[in-house]
Amino acid sequence: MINSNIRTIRVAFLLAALVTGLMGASIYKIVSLKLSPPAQLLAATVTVNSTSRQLAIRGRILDRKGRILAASRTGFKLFVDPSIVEDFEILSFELGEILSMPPSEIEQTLRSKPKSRYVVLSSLLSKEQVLAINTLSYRCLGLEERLVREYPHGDVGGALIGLVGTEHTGLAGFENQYNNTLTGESGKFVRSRDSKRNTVWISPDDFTPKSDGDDVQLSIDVVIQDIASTCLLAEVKRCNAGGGRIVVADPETGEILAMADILNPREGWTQQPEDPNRILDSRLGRNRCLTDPYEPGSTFKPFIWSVATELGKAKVDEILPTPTNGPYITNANRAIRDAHDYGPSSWEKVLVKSMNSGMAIVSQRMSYAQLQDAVKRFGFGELTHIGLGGESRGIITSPADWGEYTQTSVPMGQEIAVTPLQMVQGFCAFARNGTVPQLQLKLSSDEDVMFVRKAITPEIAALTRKIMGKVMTEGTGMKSRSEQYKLFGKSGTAQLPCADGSGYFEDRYIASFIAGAPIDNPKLVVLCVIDDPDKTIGHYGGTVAGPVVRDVIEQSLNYLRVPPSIDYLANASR
Amino acid sequence: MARKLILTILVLSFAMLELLAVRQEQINTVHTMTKLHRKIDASNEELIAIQIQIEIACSPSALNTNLALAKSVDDQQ
Repeated sequence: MINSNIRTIRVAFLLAALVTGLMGASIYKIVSLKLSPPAQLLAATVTVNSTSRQLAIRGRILDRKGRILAASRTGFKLFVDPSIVEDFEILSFELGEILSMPPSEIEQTLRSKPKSRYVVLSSLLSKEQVLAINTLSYRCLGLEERLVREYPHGDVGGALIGLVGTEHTGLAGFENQYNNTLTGESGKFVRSRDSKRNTVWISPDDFTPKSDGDDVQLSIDVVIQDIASTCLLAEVKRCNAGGGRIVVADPETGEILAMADILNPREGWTQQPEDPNRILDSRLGRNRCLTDPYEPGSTFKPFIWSVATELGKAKVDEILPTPTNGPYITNANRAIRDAHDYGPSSWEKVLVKSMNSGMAIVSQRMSYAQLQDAVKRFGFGELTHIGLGGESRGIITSPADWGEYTQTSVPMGQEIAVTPLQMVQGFCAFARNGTVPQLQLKLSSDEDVMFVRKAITPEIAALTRKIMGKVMTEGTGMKSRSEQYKLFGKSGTAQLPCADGSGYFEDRYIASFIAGAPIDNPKLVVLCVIDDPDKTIGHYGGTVAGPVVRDVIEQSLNYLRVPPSIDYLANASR
Repeated sequence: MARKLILTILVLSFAMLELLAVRQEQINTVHTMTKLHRKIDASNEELIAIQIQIEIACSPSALNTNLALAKSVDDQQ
């Protein structure tokens, strides 16, 4: 019994000694390897900790129906570490085949920077190239992940959407405006690699997950944007104009559905609308719909007409002493001419036939303050706060400089400059109940509070709309009349001001047309401005810009499935 | 006393082995997780690329071109 116990104790001690010895030997080996590892072993088992970035995907820009206007995908760029290249010739030859580049060029690039550890050979590889590079087993080659911004609709709304720079930050347009929302936060993680650069371990403590950017949904409809851009471009080319601008808005919500700005550089023309940034990239250009004011001409008449009517300065059927022959002479001895002499005409006819004399007669019945207030009521002279940078307030004569001349100029749309956005915003009052909506470029939700300002009474808005309907059938908008829908609108033809402030060109114009439809329940307001059309082809707003507005309205309402007018349907069914 | 000592050594050895096994299992799980994450990321990237391709193919200008082409073929026939 005692012997048996003694044997057990011996075995136990032996086992304990063995285990202790083994552990001691292991610890000794670990310590000796850690303190003075053999050079051969060190080279083979080197472990490197490297910090890698996890790219955050930039948010998408979507149109109102969720179509992608801009989206980011990941791509790869190829870099080489020339300091560890073993054979430049073979490497250059193999890379040359994959990259479709002359091997001599690659070799020269690599040899020219022997001390550099990072030489980029291709900034963006195709999918096939990435696969081919992965089959090569050179330590000196590296693929670096990068983000690529794609614009699936090409140039449609290009200047509006903008672009991103090499660092993937917004440089212009919505990309710049909503950069904070779109930009995500990159993640990072530390990984331990073995001598063959394989990842051995990623410590959960050193891992910060990425956070992708948020999407931005705009009020723009890419189909309407395409319709507007196409129609505008065709007209600018047809009448050899210096450029053109178009804005399409939903008057009910104030949302902008399309906005385009085209420049058409012409040989041999002086003082053309210019934008040096567009030479660098068409997406970098300024948006002239909100940056460049223009003289609205007769398209401004409905605003003053409606306020004068509301103030009781003239009744709709009141016959005014408009001239039968020759110009109308104002109280300040200013001669005001009409395109045609209609003789004494009603206040209604003044708007329908766009008579300057009638506007001058009634504007003289208004005080300066009343006319200044009329201009302000519709938001002219103020920013629309649409949310894009570089917006202009337009140009309005200050009260101190306001005189008899201004009093009769402004009602004709002269001596005032407005942006296309301001025009559309103000005109929405006629399509609504006399209130001016806050224009928006982001899709509004039901919870959004709509900020509006009251410009005129609902009755006056409806009356002005009705009379502008007659403009399309009896007045200056006849050539822009739509067969399908009943439009209400107004044309404008203003002389082009000289850039040096020396007056106006005698034979150069800005033609514009603004209209809404359908007249009974307006769904769209469209403004088209044609800058400096070739007079030999056409220059009146009603003949140059009007047809563009009509085409855009017809095509857009068809797309929005708004039924045509009853008259059109009745004629179609015959 | 001796038996207790042997038992303690055996239990400790077993516990250490188990700990090693658990650690290895943790490494394997993290590795599988990483692989799955990479797969998800790759799928997402492919999805984005496909979405962009669909958008390009369905853009109004592409549709107009295709419709015009189809119309000209119809006219020829």
